[in-house]
Amino acid sequence: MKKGKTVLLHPSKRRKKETAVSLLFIAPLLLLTVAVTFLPIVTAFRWSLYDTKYLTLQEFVGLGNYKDIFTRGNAVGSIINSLWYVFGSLLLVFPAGIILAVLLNQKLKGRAVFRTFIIIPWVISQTITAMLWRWIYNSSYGILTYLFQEIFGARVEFLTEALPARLSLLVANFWNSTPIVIIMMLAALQGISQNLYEAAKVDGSSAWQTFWRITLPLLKPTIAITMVMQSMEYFNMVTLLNTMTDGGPFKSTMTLSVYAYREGFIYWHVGTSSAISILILLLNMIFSILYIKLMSSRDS
Amino acid sequence: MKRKNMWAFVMTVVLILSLASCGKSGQTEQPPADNRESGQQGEGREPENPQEPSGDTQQSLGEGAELICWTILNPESDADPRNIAFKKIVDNWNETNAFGARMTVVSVNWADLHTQFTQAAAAGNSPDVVCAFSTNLDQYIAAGGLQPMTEYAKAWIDETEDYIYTAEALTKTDGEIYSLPWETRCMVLYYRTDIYGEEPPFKSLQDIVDKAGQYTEGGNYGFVLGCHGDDGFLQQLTPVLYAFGASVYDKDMNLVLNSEEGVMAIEWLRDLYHAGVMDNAGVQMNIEDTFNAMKAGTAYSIILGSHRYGALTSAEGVGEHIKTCAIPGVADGSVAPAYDTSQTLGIGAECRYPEIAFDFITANLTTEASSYWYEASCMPVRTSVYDLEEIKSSAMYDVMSEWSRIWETGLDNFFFEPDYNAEFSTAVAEEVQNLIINGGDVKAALDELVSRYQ
Repeated sequence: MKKGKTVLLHPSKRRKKETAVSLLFIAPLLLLTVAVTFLPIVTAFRWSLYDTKYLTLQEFVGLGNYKDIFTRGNAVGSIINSLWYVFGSLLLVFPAGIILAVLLNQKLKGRAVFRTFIIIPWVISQTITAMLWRWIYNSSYGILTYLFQEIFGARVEFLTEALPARLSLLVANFWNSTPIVIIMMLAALQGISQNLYEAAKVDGSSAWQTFWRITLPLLKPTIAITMVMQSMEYFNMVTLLNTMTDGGPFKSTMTLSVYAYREGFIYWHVGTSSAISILILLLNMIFSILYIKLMSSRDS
Repeated sequence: MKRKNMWAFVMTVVLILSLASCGKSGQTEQPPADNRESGQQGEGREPENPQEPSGDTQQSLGEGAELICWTILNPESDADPRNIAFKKIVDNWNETNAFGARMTVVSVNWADLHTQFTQAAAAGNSPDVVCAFSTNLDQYIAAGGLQPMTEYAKAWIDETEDYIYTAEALTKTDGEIYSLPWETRCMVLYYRTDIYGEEPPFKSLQDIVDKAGQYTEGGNYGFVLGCHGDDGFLQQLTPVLYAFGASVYDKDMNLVLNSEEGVMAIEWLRDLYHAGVMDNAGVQMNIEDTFNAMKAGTAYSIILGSHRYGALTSAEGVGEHIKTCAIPGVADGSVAPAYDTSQTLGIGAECRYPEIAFDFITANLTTEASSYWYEASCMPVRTSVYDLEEIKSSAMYDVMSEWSRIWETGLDNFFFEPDYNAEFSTAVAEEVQNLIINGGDVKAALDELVSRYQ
């Protein structure tokens, strides 16, 4: 082809060429996704079918690891704990996150300062968050234990009894992860046209009606996607839970991810840990599909 | 357009190649991608005998060899006095070693070291020298990360009369020595002198049950031994087991915790709970919680390693009231045999210059190096350190000498825990918590537990 000369290609050839170029452009991303997502999943599935010794495969055991975690292990208890933790966190974080986002979206004095402060818990590492809350809840010198004793005259064992430990973890997670929900909701709120609110005002809509009939429906897509993201985050959360309770007392806070972490990286039962990870993947997929279906059906 | 396509193609190829090489470095079959030369052992190859000289004279001498040491210490930081001691040793060795070799130190966080080392071992990429805590050593060996140093070590121990460990004590059940301790520690009883007075507070373990409860109230504990966590629980429990004549493992590493004496030790823990010495929260503490409670002034006596002395005695408000003594035994006036552990240095499985690596390890064990460790509040592994004038006049001399005497009572029991120790310890802790709080037959529970791991 000479410079400056335009060659007209046959439409089908042109389409093929464009497809090839497009594929070439998305190839790096595709490869990256395969390398960091698809391959680890396939590897984890493969490893879950083997007996392992540290990081070496031993004999093929088929579904033996899956059977073991349900019969001899703690899979059922961990699934219940995971569901408790995920849904408990969602129930606390989302209503509060939406309300706070709506409040922070108002033209308030010092709004920028509020927004800055509210993000702090989210930027603190989970290890620090866990250690901080562990200190707050400590049964002999924790500030919350002290305050409870002073106010109610009774000592609460926040982290050493099953129900208080579960609730305490929810509170710590609420503190840690509500900011990201607020940010997501704030971003979505700022995308809602002011004309809609003005029209509602002209029609005499109350604040509650405006929120219920305009704000919330328009936030739904963001709520759905954030819920999927946060559910996965909570399902996969290890640091906060493991640092605060080690899965105790009596495995009452041992979620699937903590179970997988301990089996894999403390006891080096990588085959067992892989089986638990595959279980987490399946649960994540099921719940993601459910959320999206739920949200889209309401929209329709 | 053509030029764009060409660029896209080039970029894609570059990315594919970089991804492919990323993938390879994690595979166990591949040689390590660091500064070492080819010919290293990978998965499936028999480890080379470190005692055999390599074919290449230049290589066996290792002139100009670059070695890597993974350790929990950081010579670049002066936050921990042990870092300063280690820096002196490394700098000195790098300047004066007869091989002209150089050791590069990679500082790895304590919490990450086991994971990273196991991963490196699986990738055939373990460092030349690694710092391994004695309770984790078996894990490192089982992961294929260490090579034996038996002949070097035996010869060195034979000619080093004042080294506190015998070759026999350091020999694993496979007949090999894999590491040499560079410091040591033993479990001792920490107590508050403003609560219990200057003298050791308890005559016997039963005395703890009888006396300590009076100070347990509102989140404060007269004595606490937390039954939670990973291998920390067995570390705290083992001297109590020794006091009763029990142990977790026998000499052949069989589990014997379910012996009659072992049952008595667990029942002693239950007595502490029923006597009001410990409550639910106390029982569910881990070793770190008990340390923090002592530091915060809410625990008045605990069982903990001697190496935590510096941190506890520097605690604001309570540090000046903290002292240590031997853990009491069963009979009045007796003491429990010590449970000794240590930080050790081993040679990585892929190290091509084991002779040089061993030379570096022994540089950490000279009398001079031991005096540096002593200054950093580590119990030295060479007894001749105690004869040095500057040591005799140091503030820690009396305390350290007492620990040394306590430590000696445990030398016959010294062992390296098996690689499943952390898992077993967690299982024992959970079972003991259950037995203490919910009750049950101790013997039956221990039998069942031991049968699961035996």
